[in-house]
Amino acid sequence: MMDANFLLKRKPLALVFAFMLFQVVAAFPQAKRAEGTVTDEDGMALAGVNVSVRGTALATQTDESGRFSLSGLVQGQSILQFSSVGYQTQTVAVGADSRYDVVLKAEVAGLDEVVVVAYGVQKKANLTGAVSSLRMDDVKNVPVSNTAALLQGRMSGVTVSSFSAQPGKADDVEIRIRGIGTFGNNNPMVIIDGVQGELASVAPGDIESLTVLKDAASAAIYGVRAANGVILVTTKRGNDDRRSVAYNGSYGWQQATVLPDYVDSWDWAMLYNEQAVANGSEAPYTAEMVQQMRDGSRPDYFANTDWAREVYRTAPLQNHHVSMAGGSATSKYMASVGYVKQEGILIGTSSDRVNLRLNAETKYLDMLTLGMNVSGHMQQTDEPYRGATDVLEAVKAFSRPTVPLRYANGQWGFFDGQTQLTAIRNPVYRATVGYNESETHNVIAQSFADLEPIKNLHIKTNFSYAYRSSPGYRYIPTDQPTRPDGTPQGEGTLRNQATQSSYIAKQWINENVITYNLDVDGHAMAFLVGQSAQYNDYRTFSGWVQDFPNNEVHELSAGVNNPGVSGSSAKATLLSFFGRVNYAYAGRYLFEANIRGDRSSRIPRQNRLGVFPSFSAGWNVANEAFMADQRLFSELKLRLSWGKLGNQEIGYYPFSQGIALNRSYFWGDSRAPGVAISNLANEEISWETTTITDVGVDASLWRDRLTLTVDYFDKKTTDILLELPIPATLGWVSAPYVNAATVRNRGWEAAAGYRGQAGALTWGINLNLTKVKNEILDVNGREDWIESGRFINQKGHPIGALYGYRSDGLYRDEGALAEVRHTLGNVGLGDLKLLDLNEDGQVDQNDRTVIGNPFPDFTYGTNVNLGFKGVDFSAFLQGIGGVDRFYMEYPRVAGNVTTVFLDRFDPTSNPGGNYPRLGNENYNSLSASHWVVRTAYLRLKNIELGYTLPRQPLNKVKLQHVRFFVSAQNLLTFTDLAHWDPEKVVGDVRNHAYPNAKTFSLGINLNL
Amino acid sequence: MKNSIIVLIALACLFSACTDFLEHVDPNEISNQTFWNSEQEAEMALAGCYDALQDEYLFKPSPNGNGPFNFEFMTDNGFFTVYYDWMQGAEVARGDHNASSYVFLGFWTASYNVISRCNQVIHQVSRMPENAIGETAASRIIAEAKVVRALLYNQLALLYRDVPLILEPQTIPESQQTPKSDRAAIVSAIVADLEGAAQVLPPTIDKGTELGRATRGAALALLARVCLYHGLYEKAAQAAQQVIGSGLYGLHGTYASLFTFEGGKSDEILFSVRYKGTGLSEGGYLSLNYGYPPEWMVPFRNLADAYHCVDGKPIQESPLYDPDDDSTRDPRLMANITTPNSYWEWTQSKYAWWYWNSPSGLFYRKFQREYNEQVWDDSQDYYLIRYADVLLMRAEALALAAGDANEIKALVDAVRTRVGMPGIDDAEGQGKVLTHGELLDIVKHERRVELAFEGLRYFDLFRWRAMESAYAVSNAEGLGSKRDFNPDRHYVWPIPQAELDNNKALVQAPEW
Repeated sequence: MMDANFLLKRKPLALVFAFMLFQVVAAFPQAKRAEGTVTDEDGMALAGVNVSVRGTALATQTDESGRFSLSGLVQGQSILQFSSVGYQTQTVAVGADSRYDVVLKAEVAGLDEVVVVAYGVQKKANLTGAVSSLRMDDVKNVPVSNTAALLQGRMSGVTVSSFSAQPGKADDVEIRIRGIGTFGNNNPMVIIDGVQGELASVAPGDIESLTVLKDAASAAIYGVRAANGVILVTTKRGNDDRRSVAYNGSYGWQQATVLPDYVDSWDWAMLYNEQAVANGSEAPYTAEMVQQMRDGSRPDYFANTDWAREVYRTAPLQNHHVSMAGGSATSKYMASVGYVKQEGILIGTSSDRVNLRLNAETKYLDMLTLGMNVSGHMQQTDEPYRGATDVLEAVKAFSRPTVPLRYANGQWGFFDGQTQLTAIRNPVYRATVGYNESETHNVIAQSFADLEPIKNLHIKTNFSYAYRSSPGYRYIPTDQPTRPDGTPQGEGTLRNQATQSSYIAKQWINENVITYNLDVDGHAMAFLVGQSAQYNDYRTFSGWVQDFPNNEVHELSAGVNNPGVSGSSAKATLLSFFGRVNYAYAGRYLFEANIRGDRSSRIPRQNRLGVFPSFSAGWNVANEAFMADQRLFSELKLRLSWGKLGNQEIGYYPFSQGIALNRSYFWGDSRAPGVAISNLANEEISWETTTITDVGVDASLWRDRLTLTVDYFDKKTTDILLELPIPATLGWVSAPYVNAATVRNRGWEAAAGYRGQAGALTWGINLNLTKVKNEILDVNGREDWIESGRFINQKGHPIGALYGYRSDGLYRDEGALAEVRHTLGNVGLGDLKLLDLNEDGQVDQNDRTVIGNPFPDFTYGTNVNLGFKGVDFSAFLQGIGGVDRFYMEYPRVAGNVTTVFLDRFDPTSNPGGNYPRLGNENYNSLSASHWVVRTAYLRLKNIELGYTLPRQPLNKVKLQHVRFFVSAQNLLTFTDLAHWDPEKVVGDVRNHAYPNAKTFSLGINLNL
Repeated sequence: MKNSIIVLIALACLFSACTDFLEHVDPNEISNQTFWNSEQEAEMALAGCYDALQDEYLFKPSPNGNGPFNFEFMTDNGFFTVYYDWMQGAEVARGDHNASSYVFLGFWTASYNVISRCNQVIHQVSRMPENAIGETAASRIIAEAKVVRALLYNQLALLYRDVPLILEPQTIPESQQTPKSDRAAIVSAIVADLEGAAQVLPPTIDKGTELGRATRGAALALLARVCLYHGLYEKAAQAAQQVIGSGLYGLHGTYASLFTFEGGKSDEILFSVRYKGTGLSEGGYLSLNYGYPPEWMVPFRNLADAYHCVDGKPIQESPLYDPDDDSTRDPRLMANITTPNSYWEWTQSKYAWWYWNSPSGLFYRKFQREYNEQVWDDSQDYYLIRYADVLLMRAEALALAAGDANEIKALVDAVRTRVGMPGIDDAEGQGKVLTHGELLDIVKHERRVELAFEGLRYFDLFRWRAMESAYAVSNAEGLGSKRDFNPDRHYVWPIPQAELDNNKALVQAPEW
């Protein structure tokens, strides 16, 4: 033992494992025995209670009649610990007795649980609004580069979509709380430690709690900024008296969830030939050429390149987070640093991010708390110089499998041996040459003071300042495509160009709040009044120059020709006051009222003040006397709320009619500085208002084993500010925002959780389900308006409904073809059979209708946790049921085409084909239900298996907690869709979007 | 504690009293309320009208848009090669377009964009007080805006036939309730505008500082075009004669050198859209190529074949014709078209090895600079009206109005003489008397060979109702996508579907 201890001090970590193996042996020298029965407060025997001996691996469970027995105890040393889900843990010191009958008290911690709400915390039991919290334990190891992705599927009423796995693209994760209520910005407001911010600026490891305020009663105190819902993030603070250091890290590998299956070059050539012939041209590829593709005899001229495989890769992703926290009775601190490095699954894309944070506070004279939170993040995101989409478009529309990646001479492939065809956009070349690098440098400093001159009266002031700088660097090198024989040919880039841009945004907010709590004879009251001032501005600048001496120097001063600059700026201010009253009687009857008044610089003076009230009430039925005798419900609460919220995301100066500069012209050899109106203003613009009514029930059953929350909501947005399309006779001007539409989101959401125990196995399951119906009630007397030809906003239908022709397969016989008059193109056999919906004998524009709903029927998520001794397992599934998206396989053979094309209709060889004939792309690419896919999917979003080392050996080496885990994200997807990912942004009609990724990770959690 | 509360209240009052905190002026634009106060500002707004002509759907030819230059490839002059069949004009040429085809909305919006800027200038400047702008300056600015506006209405009235005639700035509600006007009403409005402008505009300008601004000659030449397009032949002839009679214009020395950066300053150019490169942000890309002739839009063979031999005879008749030698042909062939016999300067060779990029073996050459510059930012002006066009317009108007045959011949001969081609009497008219119908055909042929790739052919075929016969000829070559022109429908462009959606007072043309 001497030797072992000596070694342990020298090399503690290395011996942890060895110790684990020996601990069982080491724990058995003595032989005291203990036995007994465990019951609940009603005297009922409790089975499956964990009985363990502190600091040892000794443990057992109670049997069916609540009995247990354990031996190997040390009198006066061993401490028995009794724990069971739903009960308070109890400990008993082992003395001379050998019998220990224990009564476990039901756990009521769930009711004392507090939830972060606007400007404070609220006992969960006293909540009257609709609020969801993210269980941080469920998500802390999920490797994401975007904190927002953690929310997906975890909470009812919160719909999160991950549109792509492109590193560093915050917009690719979309959060929608209870549907969308407006036509513009639908992103929820994010408040971090009381200050408006963005989720990307906080590392997941720093988050203590994340709460989503879903109804107006909870969010109305944020007034004008809260109509899309509010996400409240509280970061970790220090502990009173314990220091801790933690490290969490993981390393993973990502792959595309699905890759399109593109046809081989010989099939491509055959399809291309067919299309050319159908268009009245000669077939460009001869039989000999096609044969050379098949046998690979002239790879420089007739290759078979799978461009999807060339541009995608398995890419690493790593996450590290180190934090330290500590403090004393009067001061606390928490400091952390996080690092995420993600290579993209598409070559040429990557992102690095560092997050830093220091939260510190101290208390003087027991009445004044002063503190500061300082955080920042730096991020660098790399993309190909024309963006990731350009590479994906190059694959889809501007490259063909007949061209090699590189010729044998090492140069990039641009041509095949059919010399009439022009150069391809070599996707790999475009992804790897040149760059587009954007950085973010973000600092948020917040200082606060909280004076408590008399008990329960707090006077708080808070000043925060945020600075964000986002420089961008872009460089396009010169290049010259060549033919296989090295001859230069076609569209090269003769001039290299560098562009440097800058975006600087500043924000400061000053908030002053007074709160007072009072409790008199069971009447609990809380008051809050506050005032705030907010300032935001931004300034942009961009400079560029061409013709660098070579492709190695990129600094602007080195460029020779055509320098240019541009820049703009804007600012906005907001002045607000707000107040809140809470009243609770005997923990049974709850009432809350909020009011907020906002004055925004974005609204013209006559309409400037917006007032947003809310009221809510709750009834804790379980606390009533008549419920005192029942044991089923530990909580049963009914909630009702109503309130109004606003929205001001309408640009900075929407009401002032300006004349744009820089519409210049040359008269003779001198510049005539021209001006013109480019944006139309609306001088009468006013607030957009969202009114939400919410009815909810919260229940906890069987001593909190089962928890249940169900809400029904009706969210109606009126005077919606939108840029209603205007006649083109006004020119190329952008339409003004007008208060025009009314939209309703109505639906219900439910969340349920159950936790149980069977022997040493603890388990839990959580489920949530959301159903929202989005409907436009009115558009300023208009019937509808159409967006980019394929989407419509129409009364009685959801926002942005898919719009076009209803189709019924293809025309397969001349008879059907002759039944109607065709006005949309030259229609023949094998073309889409568009239906004459209005039955006027011809298929024309008037036959268009709504052909799809962009909103899912319902969304759901479920999480399962299992724990057995040191092993834990969790699986998280997320899915949507029924959403419509265009998955158009654009009916032209120009770029790579998927195997779907091989099923093209041909009257003789493939009369049953389901893909339209080639050569009539304008007609067949019309917005038709043929191209709309109703997708539903169930996705294994996260699966994680962990092992926690036993504590005893760890303690000896000063480690509190060590856990290893393996996890996978998006491992499985159940969907009918082939070639493409079912989760994609609605506007991506032709499948150009960056795909999602599946990730496999290994990780460790370590606490000192 | 008391102090804190006082500070707090003071702070709150400070902010609430301080309404300035909520007042901001857009720093990126000029306020419309404080504008329109000086001649300089009126000129800035006028420059904005001209600026709107530099549009990819109007007079800034580009593969991405579809303006009159690209229209050439919707005629028998040329076509879109198969790989560039996605270009918007190709859809019209194939005949599979419909009211939702973006090409119609693009052209419509770009045209009305110019019109609405002009309306703003005409409205505001005419209301400016005398102490802000002198009457001469004001009336000149207004007249220029009217000329520019007429340029667009003329095309709209030819292609869409009946369109909203908007002559004043409109509010959004007004724009949503504006019906179509008859083509005749539009024509008479712009004819009156142009006649008025001709009274006011200066006959000459300083080319160093004013080139590009509309002159009296520009107004009259445009008047001739408007009248010719819409059947007012006598008036067309008169207007053209006023231009000719002014003596201020003439034909440029050599034909080929007219279509260069420098050619833009020639006395032959009556009205042009100005471009100024490089690096001045006012360049265009009419001369764009990649060191090789552009392969996205190429000529048909029947255009090349339409250039006679130097003896004035068509190639089918002339003994001088040699398919391997262009030197015996009308010099305008070599100036306008790159053939397999052409010499391409950048490569210092005959371009023959490149010819397979064009199914016809031909490329357009007009405006091309034969260097590998890839300039998307050049100084090549887009010629709206030049003197040769004026001569031919008068000739055509006279032929249609049974005017003096000798004058018709003289007008055509003037155009031919510049390139050394024999006059009508030494060619078509040798030894016979030509009817007015024959003279008209000669003028039409002359317009084609003289003005090829200047953005006029589509309008000419449209107004001559000759599109389907021209398509028949070009379809016979079997090049590019098969084309279709339905004379019962395609002689009027559909009002864009989006416009019908947004302006409920509009009614689609009955053909659509």
